[in-house]
Amino acid sequence: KKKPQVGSVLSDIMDNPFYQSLTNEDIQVRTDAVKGLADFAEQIGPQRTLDVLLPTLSDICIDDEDEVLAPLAVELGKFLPLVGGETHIQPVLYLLEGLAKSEETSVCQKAVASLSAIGAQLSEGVFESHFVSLVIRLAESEWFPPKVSACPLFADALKRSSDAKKEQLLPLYVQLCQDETPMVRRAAASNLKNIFPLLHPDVILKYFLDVYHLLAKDPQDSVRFIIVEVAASLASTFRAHNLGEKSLELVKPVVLACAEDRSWRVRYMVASNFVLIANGIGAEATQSLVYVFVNLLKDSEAEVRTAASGKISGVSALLDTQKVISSILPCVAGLVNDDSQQVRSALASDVLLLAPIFGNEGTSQHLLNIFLRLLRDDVPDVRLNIISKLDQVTKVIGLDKLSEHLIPAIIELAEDRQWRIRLSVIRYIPPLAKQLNVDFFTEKLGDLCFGWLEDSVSSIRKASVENLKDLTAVFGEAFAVNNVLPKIVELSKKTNYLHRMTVLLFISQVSPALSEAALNNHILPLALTLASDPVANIRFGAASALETLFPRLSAETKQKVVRPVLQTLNADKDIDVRLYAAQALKAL
Amino acid sequence: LFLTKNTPRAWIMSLGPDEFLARANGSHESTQQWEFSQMFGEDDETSQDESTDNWISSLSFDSTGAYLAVGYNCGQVVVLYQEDEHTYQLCCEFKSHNSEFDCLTSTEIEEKINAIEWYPFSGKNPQLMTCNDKTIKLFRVAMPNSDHDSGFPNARPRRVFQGGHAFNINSLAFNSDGETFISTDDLTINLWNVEIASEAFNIVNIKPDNMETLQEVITRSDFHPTSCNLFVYATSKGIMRMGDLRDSSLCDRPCKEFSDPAGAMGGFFEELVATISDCKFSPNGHFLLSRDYLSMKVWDLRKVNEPVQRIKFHEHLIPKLCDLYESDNIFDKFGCCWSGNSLQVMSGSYNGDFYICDAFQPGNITQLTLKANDSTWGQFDTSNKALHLDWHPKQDIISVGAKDCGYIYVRKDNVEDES
Repeated sequence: KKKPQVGSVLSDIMDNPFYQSLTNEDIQVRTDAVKGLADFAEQIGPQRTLDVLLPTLSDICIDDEDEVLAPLAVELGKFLPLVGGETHIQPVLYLLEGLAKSEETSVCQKAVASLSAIGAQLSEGVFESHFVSLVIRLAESEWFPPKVSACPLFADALKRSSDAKKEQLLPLYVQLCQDETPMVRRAAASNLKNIFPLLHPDVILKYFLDVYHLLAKDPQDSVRFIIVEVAASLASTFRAHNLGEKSLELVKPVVLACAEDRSWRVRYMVASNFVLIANGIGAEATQSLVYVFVNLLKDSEAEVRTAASGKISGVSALLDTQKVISSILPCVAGLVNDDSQQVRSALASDVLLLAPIFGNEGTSQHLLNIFLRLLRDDVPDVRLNIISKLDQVTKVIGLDKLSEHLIPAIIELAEDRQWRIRLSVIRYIPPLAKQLNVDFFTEKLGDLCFGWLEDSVSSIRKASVENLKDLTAVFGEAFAVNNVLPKIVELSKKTNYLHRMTVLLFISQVSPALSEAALNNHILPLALTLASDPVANIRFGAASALETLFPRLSAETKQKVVRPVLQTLNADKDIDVRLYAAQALKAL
Repeated sequence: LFLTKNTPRAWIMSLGPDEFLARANGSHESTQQWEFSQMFGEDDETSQDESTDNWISSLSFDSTGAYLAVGYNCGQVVVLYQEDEHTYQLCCEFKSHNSEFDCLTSTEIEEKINAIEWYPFSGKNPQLMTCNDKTIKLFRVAMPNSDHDSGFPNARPRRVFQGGHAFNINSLAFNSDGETFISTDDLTINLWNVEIASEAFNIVNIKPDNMETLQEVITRSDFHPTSCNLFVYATSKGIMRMGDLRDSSLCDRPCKEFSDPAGAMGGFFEELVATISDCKFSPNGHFLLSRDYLSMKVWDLRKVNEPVQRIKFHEHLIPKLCDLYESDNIFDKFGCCWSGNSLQVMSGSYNGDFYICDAFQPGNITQLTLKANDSTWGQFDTSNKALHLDWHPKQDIISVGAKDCGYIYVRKDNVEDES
């Protein structure tokens, strides 16, 4: 983003370099310039913004490329104060209206967001005369892009409209819901969830009842699957007005129809929105719909089963435990063996969240076996998902029952051929460590943690150092000094220079967590030794590592012990070593 | 009441398949008269230029018929605009694709435009999609603002969809949802979202595990004009498979398979002439048209084991099949298309001939010949092949491309569709 420079004298804008770059031939120059528009407008003041800047922007809007127009739309959203307030906002709104008609969705979306932002700040009179009329014009356009843009703006318009004005606007919106192009119907349908909460149920019934049912039967699949979210929104709006029964009457048939729709995508939407729907219709009504959810868990299409599997805990939280045990758990037992690894993976991420619902005994009795099965799955992703959520279970039943199976599973994943899997395992070690005592941990997983320091993949080595830092935070300095540092010292004597690099990484990352005593007794000597390493990279790495230690070292140490070493490095034959050493000496 | 060229299209579209067939079968249209209207392209009879760079490789009307896009071997695309009933003027011209060198396979990727499809919903600035063997591009034809004098229509690239195909792309088709489209190569079909160029879903894959057992390739595909879930693809084995996107996320198992064993000619060339070179859904969505080397077949979507009509207009080629095989012409891929009212079909041939046939009236075939070069008159010219053609969706105006020239023909007493 270019920071515009404007003189303090009322100079001619035309000669201003920033202003000129707005119409530069090179599109990259224009794009960069446009991003600084708001700053520029602020500097030149409202008068010149209105008289000079906006007309230029108008020309740009007519013809320029989308890459320029999208950031332009963003900047225009900031222009209300920059044109001196709402009395002068009309030209800005006019430009944004033009941009909201673009075929390019990125431009439209930014224009709509800016219009919304400005609209929120307008006073009632101006809002009605300028903003609402703009929305109406977009909605009545003959082309489809403006109609699509109008849909999200209706919520803004309705929010601040009197009942009388609503009566004028709502029929227009209903028309958009029945537009002949699917794009408009999709936009209209998906914004219903923003509009329903603004209306009284009677008003919703008056205007939207028919169109709601029409959309649920739309020949376009992409419209039908939006209706699920709409149903959920409808349900919660009605419940908020204590019309739970009516809400169920409206929502249930649509949900049932969608759950059995021939299109798997529509059924998918029911599965992935099930918790939302359940929250909308309430716990009691949800009980009666459990069989729908169970059917989705058994759907023929794997994508649907995956979506449903991810919602098991969410749905179960709304039911009584007996119902979960009798209706849902039998399904889960089947899903553990599902053919699709996606399904099992989603299941693994979610099923552990059932533990808090079942409590200690319930978990042991009903869930433990499921966890253990998934922990032994063929696919690493599934096993990882179990491990990542284990704290949910150990909170409830403690670690003992699991550790016997858990530790071997972790070790197996930690040695997986794929480094990204090894990386994921490392990340779970510190949270796991919090639940174990230090001796148990060191005995079972210590070797693993130190082994990672020498992994062939550098991301693993980096992560392992971070891991040791976190473990130090969990177990305390004694652990670091007694268990970790000896390994680090060993590492610093290895012949492969990469291992010695890891030591330097350790020094800069972990030292902040150690006491000054540990620093002086263990870390400093290490760094000083590495300063005379045969490999130049190590030497200058050591110089920077020493620099990071300065805040924690005594003045005496720094002058008597560190300085001489740095001075030697300053005369090193390698130019980079001299550079870093000089930097460190300067910091001294 | 029988269906004629004057029957409003909107009403025709509302008929169910049986009612449509009943009325279509009964109509007896008088011989139609088509008139050459205009020609576009380089028609330099004296040119010694042997290069095929300027030859037309694809041709397509948009959903309103107001625009006609023509793609060339050299990667150029020309967009024409219907100025009045009979005339198309140049709207804009642009270079869609450049040739590229694929480093991985050490082959050249040609800039030839294999397919052009217009975005089905017309906006102020219409959009079209083009592709060469490997890359698909979406363009917007920006119309100058009416209050802005000095503007010319120009095509702006909007999106590039690449990396989706290991084999050569042969067709593109937009879904009626206005949001997605499919691209098809020899062995796979991908489903894309128009807004998202970074990912595609593979919905059909007929690649065998062992490529040496490869028997069949996909030649064309098309989306149903109104049902967002149905698409069809044709193969080199002369069959068409219909897929239903609703069934599952991977559509390897077709919901219907259209084949015509009874129509087989038999003999040495059977397999080669059975290859389907083009397939199109009818505008009213009830029928399918397929073009194989010797004929066109009209299929009722409800009947998979034989076509409703076999339109044989290439019988005169049968004795020449040997020669055509020697000259590789037997592999020529002729396009086909429907009239906007779903009553007629059209396809091209050699010698600059092309045929307009009643889809449901056996034998009612009109043969026309493109304005031929005098030098080839009388000879059988296999180089002058009308491979690419399209029919205006709302009027009886057709466009045919052969070699480097495009031709526009208008039906005499053409009535503009009021609906």
